[in-house]
Order: sequence, then C-alpha cells, then structure tokens
Amino acid sequence: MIFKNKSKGFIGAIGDDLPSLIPIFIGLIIFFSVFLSTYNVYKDKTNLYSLEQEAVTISLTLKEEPIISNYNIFQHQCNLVNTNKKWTAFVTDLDLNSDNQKSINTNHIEDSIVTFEDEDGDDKNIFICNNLYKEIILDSENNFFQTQNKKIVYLFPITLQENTFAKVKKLYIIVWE
Amino acid sequence: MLPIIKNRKAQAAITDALFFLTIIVTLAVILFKFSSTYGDRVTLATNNLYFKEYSNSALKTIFYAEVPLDFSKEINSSKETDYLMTAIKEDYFSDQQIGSSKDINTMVINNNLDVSKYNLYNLIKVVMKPLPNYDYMFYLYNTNESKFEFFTLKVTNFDYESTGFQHQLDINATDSNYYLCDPLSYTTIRDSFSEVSDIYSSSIPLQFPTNGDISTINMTATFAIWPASVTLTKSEEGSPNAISNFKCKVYTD
Repeated sequence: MIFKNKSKGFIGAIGDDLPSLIPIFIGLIIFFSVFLSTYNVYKDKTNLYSLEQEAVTISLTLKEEPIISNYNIFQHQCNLVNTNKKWTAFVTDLDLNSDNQKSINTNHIEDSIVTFEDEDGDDKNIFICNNLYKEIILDSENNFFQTQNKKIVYLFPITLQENTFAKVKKLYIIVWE
Repeated sequence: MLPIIKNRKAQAAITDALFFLTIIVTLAVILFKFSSTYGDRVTLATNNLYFKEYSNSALKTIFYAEVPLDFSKEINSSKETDYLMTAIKEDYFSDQQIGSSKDINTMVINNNLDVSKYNLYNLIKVVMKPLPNYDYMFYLYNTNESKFEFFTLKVTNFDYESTGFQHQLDINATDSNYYLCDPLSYTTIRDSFSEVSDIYSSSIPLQFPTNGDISTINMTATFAIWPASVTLTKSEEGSPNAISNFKCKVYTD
C-alpha cells in the first residue's frame, strides 16, 4: 500500500515523460514541415522574381530603339544583353486585321518567327536572339514550351522595318532556369 | 509535500509540452502567413514594370508603324502607305480636325476622309489584341484649346448572374466594345477613372502643324491600360455610367 502511494503518477524516469513527448514530437513535426514549406515557397518565389526582373531588363535593352530597322540592328541589340540567365527573344507577325491574329505554334515555332532573306537571297536570317539556345527553341521534336522548367514569357508590340514597310510585330522574350 | 509533487510530476511535464506546442503552432502560423504574403509587393512592382513597358511599346508602335491609306488592313497589297502619325498630322493640317466630322466620336467606315482616323483606331486595337483581358483608352489632347481631338476606348462587357445568396452576383466577362468618344473635359475622365485600379499609362507630347491662325498645336498623346473591370460600365441607380459621360459611340468592323 505504501509502495502504491509512493508510485502514484510515477511510471519511471522515461515513462513519466512519455505523454509529454507526444506534443513535443507533434510540435517539432509541425514546425519543421511549415519551415520547409516556407523555405521552398521563398526559394521558388525569389527565383521567379529574378526571372521576371531579368525579362524586363532584357526587354528594355532589345527595345532601346523605337524601330528595329534591319536584321543587323536586331542582332546588335541582342548582343548587348548581359545576363547570366538562359534566355531568348524572337519576333513574330502581328496582323493588322485583329480577327486574323493567332497564337504562336509552339510545336513548330520556326513557322511563326519572322524571317528575312539577305540581299543575295542565299541566307535566311531568322529574327531570333541568342545562338546559345536557338537550337533548343527551334527543335520541334523536343518541345521546349512543354518542358517542366520555369519560364517567363513576355511579349511587346514593336515596329520592324521589313523591306519598304515599317510593320507592327510582336517581340517575345523568354527567360528560364 | 514530496508525495504530492511526485504525484503531479507527469502532469507538469505534459503542461510544459503543451506550452511548447502552443509556441510552435504560433511560430508555424507566423511562418505560414509570411510564406503566403511573401513577394506580393514584388509581384506588384514587376507587374507595374511589365505593363508600363507594354504601354510604352504600344505608344511607340503607334508612332512608328506604317499603315495602308485605305480600309483594307493589308499593307503589302495597298497602293499607298504612310507612317500613321504622319497621316494623322496631314489630316489635321488643313481643317484642324481628325477625320471628316467635327464630332470626334463620329467615323464613317469607307469614307476616304476618315482613313487616318480609322487606321489610328484600328492600330490601337491591333497592338492591344495580345492582351485580351485588358481594357484601354488612347487620346490626343489639344493643350492649346483644352479639348480632345481623338478618343478611343475599349471596354469589356460583363454578365451578372445571381448566385442565389443575398447581394452576391456571379460576374462573367462576355465580349468587348470598341468606342470613339467625345468627353467634355479631363475632369470627366479623372472622375470616372478614380475608381479603376492598376492603371498603367504612358504619355508623349506632340506638335501638330496647321494652316490656321496658330501655326503649331501642342498635343499630348496618352495611352492607358488596365485589367478589365466592371467599374466603367456600372452605374448608380438613375445616374449615367462612364460610357454615357464620355459620349461614346460603339464601332464594329
């Protein structure tokens, strides 16, 4: 009986703390899962903002001139872009009849990009920036636009001198990780 | 005294643990709140930068693009083309008005005197087509005489459906209307747009030569875009909405 009184509420050194370990473990699990998820959100959003800011900076460089007067000027502007991100930019048509406007065909992007033959008619100049990633974008078998990488796609109306006309076009800027 | 403490030892430990849990949950809530709102301002700033840049580009495009001097919308087969702003200035030079009518909200499609006015209206529509969820306005404001010389507006229409709950409506965008308007003054514009959020605008000063008493008229070209909203089309009971205040006429082509 004396033994019973003495051990009331006492199971043992560890046994006594067992019930308190449950909320401690639950607390630790909650804390670390929320911390991990917050860290992931922070990392993802920070990456996304840096891509968005880079896309705007690239657009400012490419659109420095109000009119792109020829292919060489376009390439010159492309070469002025200074970034450590993967990026490209290309020009597509913008029809003056808004009913005829269509989205770019992501499976065959080359069909949508404005091309310009040089004076000899030998070379076909494609209005696309950044030779480093040009092949990736133009590769129709490996659809770039359907890969999992996070991408920022911005578009702007621009004016492009094409033969004798200054035409309205769309400038796409793509930045990805 | 000692047996009592011993008796309650396990209970005190679990109370400590519950306090610990409470602190952890509070911290978790703070972290969760931080993660859900993190970057809202940065998103806003980046969006501001992009849409501001878009409106700048649109304005530049309007000034530098060439258009056919007919109603065909086909520049390659057109007999004559010109830079849009040059065509507008030429039109304005002789009679100090853009188009055939003194009423700036009037345009007759297929009337040759309205070609430049139509091309301006159409080009703005074209450059904004890639952003269908955004409404816009573009105007040329004569600062010498404090009057509008051209004013176009795109407004998205919305359909209201009752959800069954009191004071709750389901709002769906249906189609868009393209207007030419003739607002009385800047005040009308300012009052109507005071409730529209997230407006991105770009302005540029221009000089229009004339053969009238004043050889050069100072104009301001302004282009503004904003996410489509019900603000401009809604009206308080018995009072006109912005479209009526601006004396707008809808155009389709």
